[in-house]
Order: sequence, then C-alpha cells, then structure tokens
Amino acid sequence: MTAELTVGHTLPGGIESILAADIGSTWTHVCLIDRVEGTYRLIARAEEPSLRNGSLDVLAAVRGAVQRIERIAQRSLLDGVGELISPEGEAGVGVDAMVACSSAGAPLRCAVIGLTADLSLASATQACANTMARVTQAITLEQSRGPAALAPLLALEASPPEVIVLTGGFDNGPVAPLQAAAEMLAAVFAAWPAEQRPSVVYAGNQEARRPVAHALGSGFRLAVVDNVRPNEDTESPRELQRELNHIYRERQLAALPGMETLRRWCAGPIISTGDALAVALQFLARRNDLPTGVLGVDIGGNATSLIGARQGALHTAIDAGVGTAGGLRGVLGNESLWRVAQWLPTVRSEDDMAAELENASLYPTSVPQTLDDLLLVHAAARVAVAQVYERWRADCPLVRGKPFAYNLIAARGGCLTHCPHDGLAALMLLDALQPVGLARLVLDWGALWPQLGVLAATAPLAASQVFNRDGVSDLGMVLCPTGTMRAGDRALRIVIESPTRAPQSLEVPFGDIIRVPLSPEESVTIKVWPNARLDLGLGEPGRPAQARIQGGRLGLIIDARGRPLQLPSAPQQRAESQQRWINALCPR
Amino acid sequence: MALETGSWSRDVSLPAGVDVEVGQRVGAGTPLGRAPSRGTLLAVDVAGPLGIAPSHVTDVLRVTAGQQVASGTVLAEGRRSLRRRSILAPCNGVLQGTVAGCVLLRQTNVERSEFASLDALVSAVSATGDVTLQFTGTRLWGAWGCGEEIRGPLVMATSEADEELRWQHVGRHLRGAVLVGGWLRDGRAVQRAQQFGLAGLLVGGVDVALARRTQWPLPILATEGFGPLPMAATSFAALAPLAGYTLLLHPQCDEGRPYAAVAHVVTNRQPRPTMATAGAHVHLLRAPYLGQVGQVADLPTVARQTALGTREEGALVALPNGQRVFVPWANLELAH
Repeated sequence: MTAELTVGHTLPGGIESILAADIGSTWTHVCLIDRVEGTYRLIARAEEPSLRNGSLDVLAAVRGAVQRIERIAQRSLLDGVGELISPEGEAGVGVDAMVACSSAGAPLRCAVIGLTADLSLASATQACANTMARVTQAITLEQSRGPAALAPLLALEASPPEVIVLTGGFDNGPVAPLQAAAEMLAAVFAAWPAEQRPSVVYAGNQEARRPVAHALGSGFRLAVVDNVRPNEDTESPRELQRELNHIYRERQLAALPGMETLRRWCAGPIISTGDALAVALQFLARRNDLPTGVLGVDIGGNATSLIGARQGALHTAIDAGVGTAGGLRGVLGNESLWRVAQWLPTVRSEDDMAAELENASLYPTSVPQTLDDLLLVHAAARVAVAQVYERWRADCPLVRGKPFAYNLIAARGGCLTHCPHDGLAALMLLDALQPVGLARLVLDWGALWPQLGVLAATAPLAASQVFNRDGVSDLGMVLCPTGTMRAGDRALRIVIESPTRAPQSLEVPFGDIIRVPLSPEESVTIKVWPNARLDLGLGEPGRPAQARIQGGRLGLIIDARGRPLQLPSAPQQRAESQQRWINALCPR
Repeated sequence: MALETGSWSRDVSLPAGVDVEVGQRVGAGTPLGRAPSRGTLLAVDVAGPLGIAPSHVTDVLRVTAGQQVASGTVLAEGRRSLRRRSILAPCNGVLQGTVAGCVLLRQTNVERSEFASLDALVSAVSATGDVTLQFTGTRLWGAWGCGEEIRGPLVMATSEADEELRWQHVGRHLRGAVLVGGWLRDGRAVQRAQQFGLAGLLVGGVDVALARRTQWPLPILATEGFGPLPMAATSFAALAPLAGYTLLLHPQCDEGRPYAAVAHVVTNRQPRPTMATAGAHVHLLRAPYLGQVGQVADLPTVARQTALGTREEGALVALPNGQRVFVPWANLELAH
C-alpha cells in the first residue's frame, strides 16, 4: 500500500539525483538518492561526526559525509574546492538537487514572565518544555512597583535569554499589569542594540496585545500568539510552540557555522529535524492506513522527542536536555541513577555507572564497544523516553487518561541503529513505552526519516518511493496485555493459524516475554485467550480476540509481563529477570 | 587530537582600543587592549521614599532620560509630610527611564583590559579591533574541567601517568603552581591545594563523586574523564620536560573542549599524520579502553564486526599491553 508525502514547493521536473542531509548536534547523516530503472532508490548513505574537537562545523560534517558517499558510490559529488557539483553532469558527476534539515542548534534559552505562578506561568513553562527551548528563568510579576518588582527582570541582564515569553491574564481581563511588565522589559533592554535584544513572544490576555506592543516599542522582534491560558480551564499552547520552533529555526539554526554555504547548496529552506520527522511520521501513518496513527520516538544524542501523528494532527513532546550522548548528563542530572540501574541485567555500583555514563557524554560521537556499555546506554535511554512519554501522555488530550492508543511505534536514534540485535531495540521500546494491545514496531535503520521528510517538501515522489522501498526496518508485531497476576501462572493462550503451516498453540506464563519467529512476508491469524485478570487493550479483562498480522524481522513478540510493568524489588532478582528477557528476544 | 605541539591562533576582540601591533611579541601578562563592559543597571526607588504614586514619578524628576549623571546628583525631589526629600544617584551613570515607580540608572560603561594569557606573536590586527595571536608550544585537549582560566608554573607531582595524585603531593611550597598528576580521587588533595594557594590541578581522571561537587575551590582539568583513569601516556610524557614553564589551564568548553597549554620553542616540527595512517598514535575514547594510547596496526578497507557485534569502519589498534583490538573511528582521535 502506498501513499504520497505532503507536497510543498516542488523542484522543477527532471530531477534524477538528490542528496539529503540531516545535521544533528552529534552526528550528520547524508544519503544519496537516484533513479534506478524509473524508480527513486537509496544509493548510499553515510554518517560523520558534527563536532570537530568539541566545536560544531556544519559544512565540514556535511562535506565529510558526502566524501564518504563519493567513495561508496564511486561518484564525484564535490569539486576540487569542496563545492557541491550541481546539477548532475553527463558523466554522472554531481547531483541535481540537495535538501537538508537540522537539529544542531543549541536549545533556545527562554525566560518566561507571567503574572501568576500557578496559572499562566505554569502553562507557558509547560508549553516551552515541549519545544527546542529550555526555560532558564521563570519570573512571576506578583508585585507591580518598586525595586522588588524589577529585581527579577534586572537579573535577565546578567544571563540574557534568547527569547522572552510574556504571558498572563485571562482574555478580557485587566491590561495594566501586562503593560507595566512590557514597560519594564523595554526599560531593562533600552541600552541594548536591537540585534542583541531577546525576541519577545506575547502569549497573554488578548486585550493587552496593543498596549504591550506599544510599551515594548520597535526595538524588539515581537510575535503575538494565542493566550496560553485564555481562562482558568483552558490551555492553548500550540501557537506559542509553533512560534518558538520558528524562532529556533531563524535564530539557532541559521547562526550555525557553515550554514550559509549549506543554504546556498540546498534547493529549499533548511527546516528543523523535528518538523521533517513529523512529515515522515504522517506519511507512515497514511501508508499503513492507520486510523489510530503512529507514535514516533526519536532518541537523539542531546534530545529525546515523542511525536504522535494521527489523522493529520500532531502532538509533540521534546526534552532538549536528555539523550544518549551529551544528553546522558541530563538523565543523570535528574538524580535518576537508580532508575537507570533497574534496567540492567547485572548489579553495578552507582559510582561505576555514573562514571561510565558521564564519560560517554564527554565524547558524544563515540559509540558503545561492549555489550555492557550498550546495555547501560539503553537503560539510560529507557529513562529518557519514559520521562518524555509521561509528559507527552499528560499533555495530549487524545490519550490523557486512556490506555495506549497507537498501533504503530516508529523509533529512531543512534542507540537503536548501532545495535547488534533487533531484540535489544525492541525490548528497550517495550520497557520505556509499555504499549498495550497489538502494535507494530518499525525502526529508522538508516537514520533516513528526517531526510525523507524534508525531501517530501521538494520531491514528494522521490521521498515516498524511497520510504516504501528502503526507509523502514519492520521488526514485527507486539502483543501486550494489561493487568497483573501471579508470576508463572498462565497469562495467555494463543493459537497461530497460517495457510502454509499447521496451527501452532502456545501458552505464555505471566512475567515472561516470548518471540514467535514469523518472516516479514508471512501473514497469519492469531487467536488469543487472556486470563480473566488480563485485558488485551479492549477494555474488558478476559475478553478473547483475534487478528490477522504480518511478520517482521523479529516476528511476533508476546509481552506477558503485564501493565504497569512491575520489576522485582531485589537487585539480584531484578537483574536476573532483565537477563531472561534479553535472552528471550535475542537468542544466541 | 588529544595533544598538539606546534602553532595555533586565537582571536581577541578589542573594540575599545588595541595597544599592540602586528609582529609584536607579547608575554602572558601584556595588555593587548580594551574591551567595553556594559555597566550594571540599577533600579532606584523614587515613588516609595517620596510617598507618591508610580505614575507621578516623572513630575518629581530633576533629570531627563538619556542624561549622564554623576554619583550624588539629585535624581528626584519632593516633599513627604513637611520634609523635603531628595533621591540621589548612587553612582555615575546614564538615566535610562522610569518604570514601576523607580528610576533606571545604567552605571557608566567600564573598559576591561585583555591579556594574551601565554607568550604569543601578534599576527594580525584589524581596523575593527580584532587581534589575532599566534602561539607556539604544546596544547593538551581535555575532557572535563571546572573553574576559571588560570596560569602558573607547571609542576609534575607524580612520576607516572597512572599514579594517583594524593594529598601528600600537595605542599605549601607549591603556591601558585599548576600540579600535574595521574588521576584524582582524594578530596583532601583538593582541599590542601586550595589551602596552600595552588593555581590549579591537571590530571587524567577525576573521581565521579568528587566531580559532582557543585562548588570547586580551584580550577581542575581532567584530560580523560571520570574515574580512576591515568593520563594518556603521550600527554604525560609531553608535559614532563616542560616542568617549570608557565602552563595555561582553560577548563571551560567555550572553545570546544577544555585545554591546557604551554608556550615554548618548537624546533623539530614533524608533519602531522592522519589517523588513517599505519603507525599513527591514537587516543581511545570509549570503555573499556578509554584513555589508552595505541598505535594503528592495520587499516581494514571495509567495515568490520566489533566485539559488540555491530559493523563499523575503524582501525586495528595495538595497545601498550600488546593486545590488538578493532576500534571504530568514532572512538579514536589522534594522540599527537
């Protein structure tokens, strides 16, 4: 089944070959796409560290990756001075077009100024947390006069943010306090050259828009968006988040060293990786014809994000400070070392784990070399994903308070692709997300999805053809009942029926996870009878179900560990359980 | 690269005035010129002491926005009860405006002098006040650091790269020095270093519990990372003959990674090898070989399977203990 990606401004006709790049804060990925017998295919891909001695150099990283592609594809793409050759010459030299996206810019330092801590300030802070902005100062203007009212604003001078979100007041509420706040800001930054002043986003009482704009004057880059808290019961964060992402693109990405040349090379604008990934996930949802949409998980070196794409609507949660490289420090910063330790198949001292994770964060482009190292990074990734997922669930009106509602989990990240066995990647996702019912797991095996997402804006046919043929590693289906019961008792009885082989009957004890090999081409019917205390996600414990499913690289995974997943409290017993689950999904 | 011996440059922006010229040799303490530093913004309460509404502050002002005022100048004047009261400027500055019943006064901008930090040659001066300094010597890139940039005479505290820096190594006679040791675990060594006025510490690894302290009494730079990690043998060996030279410790990451540098004459300049050269000395960056320096023994032309089971491009590296291991390029940097 195929679907076409969203059409943006398309390239002129006759485009045969394309380079697509995704510049991350740790790694840069580039792929070469070309027409093979009338169809766009992935020809080669390469990755290159974005950092040189700790400093980011966008152009050097892209050139390095393109040079690797030149060696792999045996084709010249750069000229003698390192400039991109475009359009493609007759001898197959160069490419017709290049597109790029990036998440390499540092998160925006953001100050949130609100009138009351528990209403507008809380809503705006929460909205910012789901963008590429990091709230560095949260200021409540509860006093309107005297040095005490000004002190927190004067403190902004000492560590100036890149963007200030001014919020407060219900719509049609009083205007004066917001006007006073704007006057204070204008006074504090009066001596600053306009280009050095923070951008201001006003997301407060609609009635105060004009007075606030007037008080700030013309020296600020001001954007006015919906009130994040128009009344006591309503939150409206979307416009604020959209604006912050826009500022991130304009301010952080554009300022990266080497970005100017890269812009010149590209056929379209360089968009953020998050936006590009969202396009790719929407395509996945449409391709698989999923009414329940797709849950995307992006575990980056410095940031972790979750994107729910369903029927054209997107819901995103980002933590720009936790990841599996530099972001490991963010995981440790939350004093969650014990939470990391609980996912390991061995008992390790906290100091030993902390040193290893801290060292991995010091060398963000390094990759795990031993299984112990990889399992530790995966344990930290579980904590990072679970943390963002918790927030995502709390914020998403579609799933708040409801069981897991996505039938496709699409995951990407270096810790999943630099993994010796698909089972480890699958187990990490199952532990972190704890899905319920029947879901399919797919991976971005080649770190391609953002590149295909950005390509979709300029060459949608190429993007969808590459996506369908080369873009997805299908791990298979997972079946996860919710509920709890005594370990070892029968949790599920399953019959697998296939036209090509004899029916297979299985009994799965509670607390176990098992894998039934089914090749990606194999289509079978599964009939499941759960224990009376377990629910297959149908809202009724004990209710049997049947479904027709397609296999995958791992086949069918039956996770009978229950939900919420309860880990043994004794460290040794917990480690043994973890080892047993790893063995079940990664047979030697 | 973990260690470089040769030349490197640094740009310093001095828009308020340059005091050096192209070709001039400067010492570590030579002032290069001046950079402006924006004065602090102060809020002087007017409405409160004068007992008036904030909206009436402009009525009692004796100065206007943008006006330069000296310390003690009357900013506002009014009556409270029967007494006449004056609000005086607490410092020299410029009146920026009134808001929330206060006068905002920006202290007069100050100019701070910038120094070369190490012996250098001024290689370029632009019309806009950008000065380029050319350094010659040894620079050692670190993994983690804390504290401010400092410099002091380099003193080798331990005789081996894998020897722990203990409190017994730190004495009163080392005041002002940067002490070099293998690795650091003992908090008492840090306490004594502070107590005796040492400038800083340079080690291979720092104990993670020690490193997690929020308050550091003096600058520390770890070349390898956290844990009982010896300093890379090549780095330690390069520092040993430089004992007594002034060492600059730059523990912040503002120039990429933290670093330590010593200016000295470099007589025998070898061409820099690349990592993809058999025989090149490489620094290993990931467990279980973190901090070791090995030699590239072979360069497989295709991706190979790692001990973990993944396929990566990399090099076969001979370790000091004679072991040969395949290491992905991502986990290697040139040692020197």
